[in-house]
Amino acid sequence: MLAAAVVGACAVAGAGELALLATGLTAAGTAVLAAGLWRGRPIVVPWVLLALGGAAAASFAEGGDPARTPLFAAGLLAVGELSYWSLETRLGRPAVGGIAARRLALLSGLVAGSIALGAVLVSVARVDAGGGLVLESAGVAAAVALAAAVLALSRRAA
Amino acid sequence: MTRTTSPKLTAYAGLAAFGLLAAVALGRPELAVLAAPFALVTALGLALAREPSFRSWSTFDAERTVEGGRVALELELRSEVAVPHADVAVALPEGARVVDGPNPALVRVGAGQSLELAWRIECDHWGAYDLGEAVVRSRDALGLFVYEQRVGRPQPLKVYPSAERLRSVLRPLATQPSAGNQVARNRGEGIEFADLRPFVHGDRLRRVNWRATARSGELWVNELHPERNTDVVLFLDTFVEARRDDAGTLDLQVRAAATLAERYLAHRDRVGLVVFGGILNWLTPATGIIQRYRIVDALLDAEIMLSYAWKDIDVVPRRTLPPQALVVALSPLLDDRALAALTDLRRRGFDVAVIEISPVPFAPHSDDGADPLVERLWLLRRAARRTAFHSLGVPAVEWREHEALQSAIEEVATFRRAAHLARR
Repeated sequence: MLAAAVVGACAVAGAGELALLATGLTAAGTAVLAAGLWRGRPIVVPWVLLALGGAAAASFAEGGDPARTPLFAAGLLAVGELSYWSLETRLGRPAVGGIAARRLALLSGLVAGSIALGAVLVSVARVDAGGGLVLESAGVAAAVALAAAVLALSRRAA
Repeated sequence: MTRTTSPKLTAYAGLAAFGLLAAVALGRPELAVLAAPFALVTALGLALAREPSFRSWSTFDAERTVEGGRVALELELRSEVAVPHADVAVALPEGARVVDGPNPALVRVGAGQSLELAWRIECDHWGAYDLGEAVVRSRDALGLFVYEQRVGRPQPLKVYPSAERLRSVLRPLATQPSAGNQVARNRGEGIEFADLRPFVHGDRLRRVNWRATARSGELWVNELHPERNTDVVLFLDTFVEARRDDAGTLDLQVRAAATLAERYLAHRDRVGLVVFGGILNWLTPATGIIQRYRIVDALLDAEIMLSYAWKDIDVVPRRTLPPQALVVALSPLLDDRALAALTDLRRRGFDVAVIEISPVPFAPHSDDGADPLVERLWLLRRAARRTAFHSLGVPAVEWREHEALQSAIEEVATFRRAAHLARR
């Protein structure tokens, strides 16, 4: 909840004229997350991430600093991980120590990794590689292929 | 083992795909950056996912206990693959609950390591339980898959009905030839004084009553009551029962039977059992601790099995009902077949006592919406059934839930004393 509020607040702060939209998305996302955590419904988490991602996108639309994007991405990942952590562990009581510490360490690693990945992507996006139909088509194909690969992998694994 | 995808996998894969496509469609690389961590976690999770394989051993500290007793369950888990997060929940049948220990327990198991878990389980209701199995729900490192596996080996745990404390039990009208704790009505070698009689040739000198001899001037000897054992047959009517939620007449029957069996066996009497219902079950009378366990084990198997077949007492093996045995019937007096069998036993000369396990507390009352006239007629009919037994010289007393069994036994004893006086 706190992580979601922080991500939302940062998005609102950088949204400029779209602050109202970002505020609405943040408020709705936080409220839905609160309700979902209260009722134990994991289905709300992707919608909350979508809403917070929308708020973050609103801040970029106003020409925000692209260097902040990896921080937003890492924040969204932290919100998702913490939400699922909260939902998964509400029944069991720890019988051995160190479970929370290990998970916290894993979460920190993921957040750091996503910041690093985001930074790489931002720097790649800044490189002017020209334009044209061929490059545009290659980008679309790569995005579709990546999305399809992830979906196919997850379906096969299931 | 079953494997399912967690909601996280679907959500992250969907968000990654949506973000990447939106980035291309809108020409905003920031959206791709936002989606990248979710794609990264999904890809890493899929690459690193390993199916855990648990080996397990479960042990109990007891094979049997009594109602409300606690047993310790220990489970040892071993996994060849590291499991960072798993919930271990003991599979509990109805009537059993964990009173000590986390359930479910949140654990982690290192690769090639073992983990020991312990719980204390309380069984609230008598019966035979299968315990020792647990369900392990584990997740891979990034929580994208959920693996569910049953571990442990179910082992039988017998929970015996708790016995009430009784000050006294019913004395049979006749005793058996073997030595026991009951004072016989006939005379012979014993401790209890019975009468005086003149000395005859062959009497032992130690039996001479010197006071009476000094007063009368001729030898008088004491006559004594010998201590003998008795044969008691516990007769359970299991044709039908009245039940409400977690309590019923069968529970009371089993508790009363266990109590009486324990008490009679402690007095070195021979105790037998006849479970007369849809399923016929019997134990020939015997004595000793083994017989006690046999009886209680047989009681655990007692259940109500609906049957429309007419059964009379002839289906019970003859050796189960020895002559001069006291038959203590525990019946809700709801089924005519059991009533006919008890009447038949009485007419064959058996010493029969009926403890009616009252179904009235388990039946709907007029306060609950039942027709008061129907309830009254039903109660009158039950009273008539008891009166029919009384007319045969059979004590039939009502015993209700939460009443002491001793009070019912005293009532039967009072009836038998009154009937004895009436015969005089």
